[in-house]
Amino acid sequence: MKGSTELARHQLSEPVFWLAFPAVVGRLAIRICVGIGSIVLFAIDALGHVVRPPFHLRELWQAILNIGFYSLPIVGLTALFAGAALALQIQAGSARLSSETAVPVIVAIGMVRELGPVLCGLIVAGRVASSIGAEIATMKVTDQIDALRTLSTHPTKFLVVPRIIAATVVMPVLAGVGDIIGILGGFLVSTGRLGYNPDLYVDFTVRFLETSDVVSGLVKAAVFGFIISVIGCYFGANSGQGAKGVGRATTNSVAAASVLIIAANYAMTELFFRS
Amino acid sequence: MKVSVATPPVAPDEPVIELRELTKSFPGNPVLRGVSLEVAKGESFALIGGSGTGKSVILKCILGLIPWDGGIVRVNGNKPSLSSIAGGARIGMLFQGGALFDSMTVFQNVAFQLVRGPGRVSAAEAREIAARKLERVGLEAKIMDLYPSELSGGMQKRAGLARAIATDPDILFFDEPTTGLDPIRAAGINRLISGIVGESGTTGFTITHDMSSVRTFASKVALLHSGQIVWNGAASELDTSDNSSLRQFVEGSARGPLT
Repeated sequence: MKGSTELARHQLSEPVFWLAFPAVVGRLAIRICVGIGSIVLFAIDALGHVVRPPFHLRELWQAILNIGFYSLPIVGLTALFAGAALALQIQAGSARLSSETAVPVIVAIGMVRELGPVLCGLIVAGRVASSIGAEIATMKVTDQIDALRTLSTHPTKFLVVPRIIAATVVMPVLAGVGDIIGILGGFLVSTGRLGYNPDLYVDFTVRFLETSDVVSGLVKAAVFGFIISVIGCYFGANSGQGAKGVGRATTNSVAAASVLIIAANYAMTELFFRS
Repeated sequence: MKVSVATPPVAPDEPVIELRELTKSFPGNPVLRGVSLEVAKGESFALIGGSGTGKSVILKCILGLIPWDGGIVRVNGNKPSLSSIAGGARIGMLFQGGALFDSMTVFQNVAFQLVRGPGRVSAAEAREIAARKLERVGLEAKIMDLYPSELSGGMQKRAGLARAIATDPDILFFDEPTTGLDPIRAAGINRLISGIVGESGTTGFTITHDMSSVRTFASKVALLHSGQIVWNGAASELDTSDNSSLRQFVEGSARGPLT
């Protein structure tokens, strides 16, 4: 009797397992779609507030300082070392093809098209998306968002819009500064350690770098800024209660912003450079 | 100084706050089961009840911060919603934890509404009004440039009260005003609320479980239990009513109909 029950359970459990797997995948896919849909609706709602008064200029200026100015040192340092390492790697590769003269050009193009905006995006995502997510989530759990409403102030206008405008505007500036410092890093290593002629290095960099290279990198940076601010604000505004909710909002902001930056970078690279 | 903001007219005999058969459920948890109450102009109303009975939910419905399932909620005759907090009435609110904005100084908190919106005043005037309101709640003007994190819990609450009264609102809401304060500071806050609500016909709506608050400043009281009003009357009847639920709550007894 006992054996027949176990047999029946075995016969039942096998198809249940094979049904459970697609169910889990399906649930995950639905959760991802709902999440993306919520973020898109959140962004559309925020964009609707961008063009409608009142405008909180003081908060916008504060956001520009927080997101742009205070990110400059870390972005600059990262770009400097990234540019230097890039020069070393390209020199090692181009030496195998006896085309060492390509180093200045590839360092410059690599920095302005890819490394500058992407590194800048990832660093600002780590620094700013987390802080935006944590700040708004903390405001939510301590009733500050409700307090804003009782003071006749729309939280999206006051908290989200200034951060989105600030991040979208200052990211190209940050990426531009990062590009220059990165190229400088490559220049210092190439002329100081690899024996390149400084005048020739600068000449090659300027002559072969095209406007479209720079513009595409800056456009990417602006899109990354938009992504970082929207994601930070979204996870902050939709956080759970208590310290756990704030912690989760912070982690999710950084993780989601980083993944979306890499994905958006690929999509924009396809768009800009496929031809 | 009154900051001029358009206020819907209210008939003299019309209640300022009106709830009719208000119901609200969260998934698997019916919180409000037909709550009806009225608060008249100039009244100091206290909604009392144990933790988790739905007091905060009622307050959020009145403000329009959350939608409700059934019934009617009106403030000054208007339906509150997220786009029309408290039906567009001129309100001030003291939150349980103060809810001061961390990133702003005390002055920026108190003057928040004074320097924004349709009735905005100059920065100098806002500073003057803020100093006066801080003085009204027993704080010195010299703390104006401090951040909330540099204040004690009691001072934060007073600063929150100064922010709530900065624009001389018509209705003041108090969410557990004495929670987290020692008895002396709690008594100070109660006296302040009593004075402020009594001034110039301001209507007060307080949710609390602190009976000393109720005795200090309430003129009318309602007891909420299991999502329903089980007693409603004048504050003077608190000690004379023979309602068993009220008796148990007022005496703080573990035995009785309130479980």
